Amino acid sequence: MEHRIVRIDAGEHTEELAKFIAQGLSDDELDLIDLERERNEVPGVAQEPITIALIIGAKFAADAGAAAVATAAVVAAGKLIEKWMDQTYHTRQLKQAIKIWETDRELGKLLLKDIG
Amino acid sequence: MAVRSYVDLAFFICVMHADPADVPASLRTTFETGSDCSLQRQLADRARSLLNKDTYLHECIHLWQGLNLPFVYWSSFRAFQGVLKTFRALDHTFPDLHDWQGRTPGILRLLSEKLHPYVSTHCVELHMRDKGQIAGYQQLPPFSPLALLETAVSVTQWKLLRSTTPSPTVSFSRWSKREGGYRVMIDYLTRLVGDEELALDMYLPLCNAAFCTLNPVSAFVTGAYQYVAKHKPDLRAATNTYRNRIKRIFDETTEHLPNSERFRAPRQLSELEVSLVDLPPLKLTMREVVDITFGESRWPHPTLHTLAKRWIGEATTQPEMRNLLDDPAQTSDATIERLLDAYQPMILVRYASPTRTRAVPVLREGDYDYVERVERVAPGVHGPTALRDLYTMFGAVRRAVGIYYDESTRLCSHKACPEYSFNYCNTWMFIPERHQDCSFRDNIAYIRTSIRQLEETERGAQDSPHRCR
Repeated sequence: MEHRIVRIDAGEHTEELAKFIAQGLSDDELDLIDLERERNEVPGVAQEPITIALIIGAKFAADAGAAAVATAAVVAAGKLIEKWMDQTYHTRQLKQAIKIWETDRELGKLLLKDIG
Repeated sequence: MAVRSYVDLAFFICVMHADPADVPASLRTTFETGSDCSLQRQLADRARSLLNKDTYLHECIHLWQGLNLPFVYWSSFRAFQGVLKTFRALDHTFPDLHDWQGRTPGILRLLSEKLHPYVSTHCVELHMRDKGQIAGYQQLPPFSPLALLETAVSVTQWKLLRSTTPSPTVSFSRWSKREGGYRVMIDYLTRLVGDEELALDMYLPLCNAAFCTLNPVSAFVTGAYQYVAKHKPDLRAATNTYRNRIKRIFDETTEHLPNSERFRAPRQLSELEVSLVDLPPLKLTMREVVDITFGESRWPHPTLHTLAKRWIGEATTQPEMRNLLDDPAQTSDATIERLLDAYQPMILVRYASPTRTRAVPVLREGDYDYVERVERVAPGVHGPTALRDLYTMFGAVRRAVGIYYDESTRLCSHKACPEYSFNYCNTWMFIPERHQDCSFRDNIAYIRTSIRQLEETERGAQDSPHRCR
């Protein structure tokens, strides 16, 4: 089982993107991927969660069938990112995100395959 | 990264940022041109509707933790006291406010302090730093009391949804992914007890019991291990059984010391220089901490005391209130709605449009003393304005020592003001249309002068021959 992650930073819109992805995926798709928020921490302060980065992860099993299911969930997340960018025109944030995705090219490619 | 909404855990004042785009037109007009008094009156009725429902619930639950969990109340009170003492120390050291800087007193770090637990067969030791592997000890990842509190708020929010998904773990996983809830300490507890569903079931009673001691980090880890040791292999139980099991464990393992030295009013700032590694997991109760005061004026907690007394009084006849934090799913929607109105944090609504920035205190029942004082104040008018002055002192101290502070934490947006970049005025709530009209500098000078006069009076009283007799 290979666990792969990418980190996405869409500036102050990161939480908006996280919610868009999480609420756009079906329950089954959501169960297949990890969606973790990186938070800014202000010591001594209990705060509304402020997301500074989104970490999308997926476990790819050696079994081809199971891997295909995980791949489909990641592709669905990628389509939602594309849709979000189309709707909100966050071109600048996209460039920033692409840089970070390159840390895991394969998963990044899967997410980006419809975005170009 | 801007902090949009937060509760500082010393004053428990909630700062909320109202997006001008979401504010109804009539209220927007008042924000832009209305008087402070008219704005306060309108917001007293409408503040709740301006805020995101989940955010409002999240911040209210933090307040309820402050009203019910003795460690939160105690550390918050001592932090408030620490702020005032630090202000006096900085005032003496630095004539110019803009030079103020210093170490963070330990008491202000207490809730955010990340400690490294090391567990042996007979005890839990906490260390401030990663000591690596120690023979005979299991090393656990570090965590802070604040992580426990944040996760407890998220679990409470999730339980209040009363999900019908058959698997609680799947339901919580989906909810936390979709809503961005905190789950870090659920994962932590899962590793300790080896069962995520059990962790979800026992988290709130365990976490809350840990905050009924003087050291919630140590008590949380100890409680988890003791629970497994005592109830293996029948770890799972009915929902209401967890609380009784955990209560028994804590009754057996935590010591209760009435009139302990811990409640003695510290005279020196150095006595507030504490770390969690210094504090034993002694038992605390709300009744012991709620009436603690300090100083000649016998001040109780400025924003929690009245509400905590009222909650304790009401809860004696209302089991739903007594059990809310441990077992929120058993609390009816009607009770939650009532509590959201009756027990809300003091809110400071910040509105910033291209043309106007305002910060408006929205006051609660129990804050009437502050209402009169705040409403009387106009820029340039001085007076015994408790809320204004205490919160202004807090802003200057947190800027100077860095705790409770993020560079973006500020109420004002007059970038051309010479005070803006220094940001010692980050909690000054009377923001004029023109920065030239701001009375922050006059007010801070007034506070500093008043404190010195008070100190001289105190010294005079101590030197008085009557005192010796």
